[in-house]
Amino acid sequence: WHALLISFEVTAMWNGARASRLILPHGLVHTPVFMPVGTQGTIKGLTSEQIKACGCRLILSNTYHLGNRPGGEVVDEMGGIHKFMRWDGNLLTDSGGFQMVSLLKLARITEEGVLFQSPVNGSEMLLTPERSMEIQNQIGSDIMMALDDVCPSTSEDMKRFEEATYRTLRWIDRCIKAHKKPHIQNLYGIVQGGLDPKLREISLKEMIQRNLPGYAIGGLAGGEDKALFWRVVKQCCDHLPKNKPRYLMGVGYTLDLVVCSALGCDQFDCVFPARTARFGTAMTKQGLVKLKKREYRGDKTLLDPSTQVGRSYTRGYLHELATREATGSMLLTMHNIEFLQNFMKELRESIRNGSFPDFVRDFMKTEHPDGNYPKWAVNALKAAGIDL
Amino acid sequence: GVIEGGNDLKGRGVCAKALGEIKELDGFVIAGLHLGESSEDRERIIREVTAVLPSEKPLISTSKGTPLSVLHEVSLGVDVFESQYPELLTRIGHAACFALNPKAGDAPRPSKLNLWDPKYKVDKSPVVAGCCCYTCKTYTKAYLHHLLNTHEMLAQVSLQLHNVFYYQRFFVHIRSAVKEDRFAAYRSAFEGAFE
Repeated sequence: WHALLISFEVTAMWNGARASRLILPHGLVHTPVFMPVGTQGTIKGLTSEQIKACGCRLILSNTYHLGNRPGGEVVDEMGGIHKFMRWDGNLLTDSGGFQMVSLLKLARITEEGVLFQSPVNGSEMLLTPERSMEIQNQIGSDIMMALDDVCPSTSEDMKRFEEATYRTLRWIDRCIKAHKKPHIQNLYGIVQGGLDPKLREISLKEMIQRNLPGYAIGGLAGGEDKALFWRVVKQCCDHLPKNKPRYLMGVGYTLDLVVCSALGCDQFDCVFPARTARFGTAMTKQGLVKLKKREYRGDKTLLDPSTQVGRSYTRGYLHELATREATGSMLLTMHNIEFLQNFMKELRESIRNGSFPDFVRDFMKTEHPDGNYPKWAVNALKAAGIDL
Repeated sequence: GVIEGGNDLKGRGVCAKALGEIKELDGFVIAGLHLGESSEDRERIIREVTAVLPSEKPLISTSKGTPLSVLHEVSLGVDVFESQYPELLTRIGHAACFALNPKAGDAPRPSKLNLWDPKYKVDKSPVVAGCCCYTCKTYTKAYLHHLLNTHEMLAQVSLQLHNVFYYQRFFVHIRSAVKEDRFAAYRSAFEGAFE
């Protein structure tokens, strides 16, 4: 059995939007794809069988957290992450860069790397590009992310953005050098530059020169102004090579998935679907259903026709379970993940059969029946060639 | 019908007799056991009750359901057990591993293992070798240990899957032993091997 390292084939387009076949060492993934996050080597409460049954073929795990517990050496000793968590699909590891933002108070960033203080036990970890590559090599993910210097997108420190942009480039070269398994693991570079088109242009030009198997658009999805967000996404998609996958990090709301697919992104990840499930919220085409609310008590209607869980359980029953029972978390997590997989499947199909603009219009109408579409989305879609 | 009476043998007898005569009742529960009474007292109570209850109707015992007390109560005529034993193990990160079908004279072995134990950090073996539950067919001790360490929900999910499955297998063996008229021998061997 010969494992293909990576193959990316765009099979259909609608303007900038692409429907593609991404083949990785653990199989075929259709894009645009949403990748659920299993931070610590598990997607909260679900077995690998359930994850697969939801339609996932590519999930995420986190290098910093796995590096802490159980440790890269342990995962390596256990035969790699696929064997350890018994997931035979594809897996992408985030480099630990995002923790620079999420754990900022516990992180000190220097040219050498990021010194983290664990939020769990206070232990220190110096995450350098080399160490990040080492841990990811030990984990054995199919896609590895370079360690980048990430500045929170809402920062106003232009000097910091500039520093982060250039340091990310110096670090990508260190990552490439330190990556010991380029024949079985794919290293994606991450484009930085904050919200500044000039910095983004520099980052894009330099990253593309490194000729990597795939590229991510980082440093967004951090609460920045949406009007600036979509313009950066567009700029990156317009300049990144067409024959390689583009991964937009941290994006997972359906509106963002639709708009950014239209702009040309292929891969997405976000903790939102699984996290909101644990707060008792289900995703549906009509919007979020907050099952904790009293109005759902005794509600005999089934949750939602588009997923297995949604067709099997009533809102009233899930109301009782929501946030009280672990089973509630699991069922809603399964529902949200399957919902998004099905949603992306429909999106891909519409690109393939030329009805993508209709898909987008229908989606917008269903989510905003009053016609009050968010301005940034209208503008972004217009730029992508879709008139609402 | 629910038979109350605490440790009062006479009271238990009176209650059981009265309820036993009600034809509309489909089964009975002996409530209030395992609340500190001795095993001998418990046996006396159960005997007192079963002596007057119609034997063709099911008898339920509500208890912690530890394997040894289950076997004890089965020998006295209890048919159904409402028990939290699997869940109690799961909650503290333990997996049931007592010998399901020990032979007479088998040496005692631990009835449960603690997956929090750091010695399992790189243990590639299944939780219980030979167990056919989803957890034992899929995951290793090392992974379960990691899940517990990181407070992941999948730890409880996997442990519960195993513990409930394993406990059900225990009852399968009990039923076989009763059917094949060798329950006393099964119980004796089981007690010898249970630590």
